[in-house]
Amino acid sequence: MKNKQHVNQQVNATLRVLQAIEKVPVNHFFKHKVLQRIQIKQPLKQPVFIWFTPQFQLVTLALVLLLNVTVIFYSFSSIEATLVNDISVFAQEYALQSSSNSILN
Amino acid sequence: MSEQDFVKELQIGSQKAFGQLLDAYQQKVFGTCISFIPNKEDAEDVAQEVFITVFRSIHSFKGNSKLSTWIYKIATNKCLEFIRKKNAKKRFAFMQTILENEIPLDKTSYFTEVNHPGILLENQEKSVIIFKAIDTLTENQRVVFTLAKIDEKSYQEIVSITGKSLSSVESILFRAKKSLQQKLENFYKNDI
Repeated sequence: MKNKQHVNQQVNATLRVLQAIEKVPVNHFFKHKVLQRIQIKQPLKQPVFIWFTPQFQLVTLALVLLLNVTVIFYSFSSIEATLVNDISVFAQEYALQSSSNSILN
Repeated sequence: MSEQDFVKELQIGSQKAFGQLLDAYQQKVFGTCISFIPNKEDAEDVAQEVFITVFRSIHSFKGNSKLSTWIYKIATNKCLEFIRKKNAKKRFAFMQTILENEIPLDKTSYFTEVNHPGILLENQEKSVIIFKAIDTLTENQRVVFTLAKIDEKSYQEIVSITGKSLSSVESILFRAKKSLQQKLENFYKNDI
């Protein structure tokens, strides 16, 4: 019982320490030190593409992908067209193409 | 000048405005820092870091909260970050002393040494005990308890800084007090 009382007294005394903490004034040169540190750190260059936010990056990526897909699509369709043209020119050159509907050809 | 205009001045990098900000908040920020970190030099270093962070990220301040709340939030986070780093370093050093077969004193916590000029000499020993006990609380409990009981912030300010509701802050504070009491009781029981 005595022990419990003693423990309680100690606990309360320890908690009271927090209420007895006095205000500590900030160092007189604090402001000066901070301003000095800022001036030293200020010359550090800001990132050039600070406006290039993740949203912009996503939109740019989407545009580049779209452009790629379009270019691939057009190039493949033009290859197909030239291939057909090339075959007809080749056939004409070697007289392989029949211009009439004769049954002898 | 309204707060909005003042923030605009800060955002365009006005040294004069920043000087005014320092005049207005240096004592308060330092007070918050020394409440979390009971060491004058360390608290001052962290307070300086707080203002440098404010200066660098003021362009991202959207004005959703008061400027003071935003600064206290940064201060709280910087202090927690500092304590986390210090405790990790202390734990590492403690492990090394064990491996080197030295007598392991309890130096696992940053709060084994308190150098707080505001603590009376006769309270030094007890202050180490209470700060070590606070160090074992959960982060939420530590923040709310420190802001309320050491930094003496109002409930409304704590609500703004932590972003929690008033009832939540009250409940966290109640649990923190209970937990501290329990920890101290256990400590003194083992001490007898």
